[in-house]
Amino acid sequence: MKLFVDCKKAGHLCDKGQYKDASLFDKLKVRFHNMICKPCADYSERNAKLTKLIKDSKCKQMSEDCKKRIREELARELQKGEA
Amino acid sequence: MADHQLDPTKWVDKYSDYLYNYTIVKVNDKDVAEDIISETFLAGLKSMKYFKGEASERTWLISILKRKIIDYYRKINSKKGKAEVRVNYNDAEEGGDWLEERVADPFDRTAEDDLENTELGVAIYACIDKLPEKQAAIFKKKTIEGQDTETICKEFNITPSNLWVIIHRARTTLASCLEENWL
Repeated sequence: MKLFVDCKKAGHLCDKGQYKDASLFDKLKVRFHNMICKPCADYSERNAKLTKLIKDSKCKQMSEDCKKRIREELARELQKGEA
Repeated sequence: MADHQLDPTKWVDKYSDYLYNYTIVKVNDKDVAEDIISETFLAGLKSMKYFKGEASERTWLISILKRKIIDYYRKINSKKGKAEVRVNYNDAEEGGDWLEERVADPFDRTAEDDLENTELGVAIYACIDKLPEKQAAIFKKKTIEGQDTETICKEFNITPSNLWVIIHRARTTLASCLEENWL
């Protein structure tokens, strides 16, 4: 296990960190890398902002049930149109 | 010139979440929003022949949706009006500010921060729409629904490293799309 990682790996771990898929050690690696790498530090900052933005927006998804219902309804209507 | 084309079989997958976020702030009710969107798609289907291809599919659907939302408020307001006439204004002697009591302003119902957040939701979905279809689907599942990596990989038959590459691309595109106004 090495503490210092390259940019590609740091970016990957940073992405994972946005989803709670990164371990504490992973996060530490990103921190260390970011100290010596400005572009990656910027990327991390932007990435974190995006995560916060999506969280704040309380983006809602339509329920799968409802989507299914509408899909079926549309399919029925389309068939009617063709007949 | 028909630059844009309609493909109703993809409407639900492509636009329902966007339309839903747009609607939910304006009506504040999940069931009502779902009904209105279902009506919107059906109305769209019926008026497909009038689509000239000048606007994008999404813009066109939004314009139908807007009318449906207005219809919804007309309907509930006229119901409320009748009820109030019966209950409060049967006595000719009694006055009252009839109009003011009757109309509930739809755009006045949500707190301001809520409104801002929903606009943000719409903005995010508008940006997600610009992603390639598969990327958008995977990103939504992972980020908004919060499904775990394994489940998504199985569904799309991809490896975890595929997934992370897709997520990385989606996030980069989204960040620059949202950057102007929000980041």
